Amino acid sequence: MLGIDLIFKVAAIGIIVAVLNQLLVRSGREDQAMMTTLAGLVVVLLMVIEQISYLFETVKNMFGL
Amino acid sequence: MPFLYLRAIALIMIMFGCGFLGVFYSEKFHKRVLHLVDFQNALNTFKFNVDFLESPLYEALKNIATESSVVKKIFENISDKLRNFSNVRIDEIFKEIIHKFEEELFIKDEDVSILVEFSDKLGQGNKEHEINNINLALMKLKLSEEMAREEEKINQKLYRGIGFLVGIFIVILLV
Repeated sequence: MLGIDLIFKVAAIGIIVAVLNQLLVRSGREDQAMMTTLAGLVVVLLMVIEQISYLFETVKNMFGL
Repeated sequence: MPFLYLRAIALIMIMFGCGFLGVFYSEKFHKRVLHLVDFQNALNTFKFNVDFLESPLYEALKNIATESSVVKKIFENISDKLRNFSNVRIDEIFKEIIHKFEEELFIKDEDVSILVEFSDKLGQGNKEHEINNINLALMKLKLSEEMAREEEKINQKLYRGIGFLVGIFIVILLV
């Protein structure tokens, strides 16, 4: 259940960042659009970092490393 | 259950609060255009006072009536100061009064410099010089207004959009 929630959250953030990016690019603020995209990426990475760490742990346990 | 409602209300408030901030911020571009138009109207009235009525400077400034109360207040203050202190430079008075109303005015530094430049040459020549000075200031203000209108067109939509989108972004992070 938590996984699905996280996926929806990431999708929603993706949509919002894409719209923000378009808004900024159309008003001639390419630099800020780039920064917004990067900020969105960082936020999403912070959200999924726990899951990624969990994935690595599982892989390590699976192969007995 | 009440906790859920409270949470939903708080999230909606955050979203609309951010949206309102965006709208509030975007309004300053519209207000800049309005104030520039008001200054042009004021200068046109001033031109009429100087050209046809040939009134003294403080009286001509006092007679300026515009729709915006801020611009009217500025010229009234300048006129009062001119009448009360005869030994001060008019450009200094302009700078001081504009600085005093800085928070109510939405014009940029470049617009202020047009007005200060105009005031610098005020009262130094004959009627013809004054009219030329006013016409020059009017022309510069018109150019500034056109630029402000373009800026308004681009930025108004942008800030409104950003306000609501940031609100939704925060809500998604909090959910």
